[in-house]
Amino acid sequence: MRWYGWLCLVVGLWGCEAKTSGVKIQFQASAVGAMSDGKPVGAFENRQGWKVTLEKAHFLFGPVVFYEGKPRVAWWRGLPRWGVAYADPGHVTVDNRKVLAEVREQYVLDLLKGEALDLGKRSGIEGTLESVELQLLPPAGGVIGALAEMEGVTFSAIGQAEKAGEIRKFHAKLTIPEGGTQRSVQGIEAEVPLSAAKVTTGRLEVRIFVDRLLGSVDFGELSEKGEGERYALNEKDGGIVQGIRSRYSYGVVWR
Amino acid sequence: MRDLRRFVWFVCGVCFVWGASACTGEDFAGKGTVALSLSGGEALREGFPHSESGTMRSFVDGWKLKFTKLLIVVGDVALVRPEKKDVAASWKGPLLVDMMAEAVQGGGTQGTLEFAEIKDVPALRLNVGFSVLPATAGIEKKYATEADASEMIAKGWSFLFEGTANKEGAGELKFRLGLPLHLRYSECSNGKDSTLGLAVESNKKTGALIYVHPIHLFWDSLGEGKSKLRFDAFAAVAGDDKLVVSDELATQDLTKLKGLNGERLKETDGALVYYDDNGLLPPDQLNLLAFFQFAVRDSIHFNGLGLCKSERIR
Repeated sequence: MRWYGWLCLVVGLWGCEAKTSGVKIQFQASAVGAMSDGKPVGAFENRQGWKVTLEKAHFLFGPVVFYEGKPRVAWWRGLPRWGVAYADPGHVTVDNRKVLAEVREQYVLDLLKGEALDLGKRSGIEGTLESVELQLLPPAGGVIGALAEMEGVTFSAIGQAEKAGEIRKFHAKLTIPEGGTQRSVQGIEAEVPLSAAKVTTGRLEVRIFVDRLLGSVDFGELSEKGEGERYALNEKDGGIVQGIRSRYSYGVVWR
Repeated sequence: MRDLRRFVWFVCGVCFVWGASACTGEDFAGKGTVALSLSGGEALREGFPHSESGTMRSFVDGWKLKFTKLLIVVGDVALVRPEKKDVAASWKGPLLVDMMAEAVQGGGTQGTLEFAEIKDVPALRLNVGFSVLPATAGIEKKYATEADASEMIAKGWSFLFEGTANKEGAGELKFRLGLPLHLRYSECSNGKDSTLGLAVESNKKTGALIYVHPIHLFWDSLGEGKSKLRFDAFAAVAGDDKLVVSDELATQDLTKLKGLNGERLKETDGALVYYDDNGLLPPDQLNLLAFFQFAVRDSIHFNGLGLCKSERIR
């Protein structure tokens, strides 16, 4: 082969060089209902001074997207809805953040169970997990878990709240109203290095803080009564909507 | 064989010319001037209600509002090459300016103040960044009174919104809201053409406008969706002096908003009013001051309604 033949071969091979998007990893993921102060789940006092005791509480969540990079506040408003990436991690950036991994399914989580729900083995790429986006959608096809407990909504709970001797039994049942980014909790903060060496043991755990979901609810303002003479806590109450949509109601750790 | 050699030489020649032109783009592009300006648009000039792009912007709770002052401190403007991330040109400032001064609003520029020029800027597409930062001693002032400037310096404010609001049945009150925010805006999209950054033209003056969009200040949502303009929650924290100041906003609990009568703030149909913080406020900061600080941060745009990445430094 003449020199220009070799030149063409080299140039050709150079052009075809494989471009990797990062070191691929697989890791175990889970979700659990918890308290923001680490105490046992089930009873707590909220910011409005109500002592809340829960008998049942179920939460429907997913998809979940794990990002390297933090979201920028002013960048969100007015931009087209990005939605969930639905692409192979490592090939997608959203708002200049790299998608490290995803959970594409919807899961039902028993918030009071006290043990983690296994989300299975997830594929992703190496990086530092810095922010998480959690979708809060009504039940769709293929929900994993006890769908019947959800009563067709995103958050369902039964319990009572007590303040100054007044006891109010309640039944929470709601889906976040549609519109803009309402059904997406963006910018849940995290600081978890995900390296091939590290992820061989342990798991990435999404924590849903039950006390913060109900932290702003003033049970004294509930007026409608529903099944079993319990006060209805639904999407008309800004306190519960604020709690569910707050990025501070969720956490992500490696354990 | 001779034809093949000619072909190879031809290909090499094309590659050389192509490569050479690619390597010398910036040198041949020339230089231009970037004119930096500030504006608050119709919302600042007219207050509320006002018409913006054919849409009437008014408070759903019946308030009418006029601004008398909008003092802002801008500085650290940086024009950055997108690939190399290095600063191609800059203007340090900072400058403290009252955007409601007669010289700004009463001139022929419809409320737009050109405050600086950056010369010899490479005629390229550049990323735009700037800061809104606390006033400090010795700062350059434009149209700001000594009293206002002194208070802003003493309190480390970067913004001061002042004005009057009135509502039938509630009377008139004043507001004077100073904020000590230090904000950095970067990688701004261009509101004129929806591209990223600014295309600097050779041998010409290219405009770069920092746009304060006061409608954000009174929206009841920090997220996307159906935001409404409200003032009741602000008015409700005014003391007997009928003046709303920023510290008083911290007393308005977003989870239990109070109205003018001290009772829970309600819509006309009796439904409770809630502000949507878009999940951004920490549980211990669910108050109107923290919400207002985010709203003010969201109110800064570039070249019209272009959006920037923003970071709160302090």
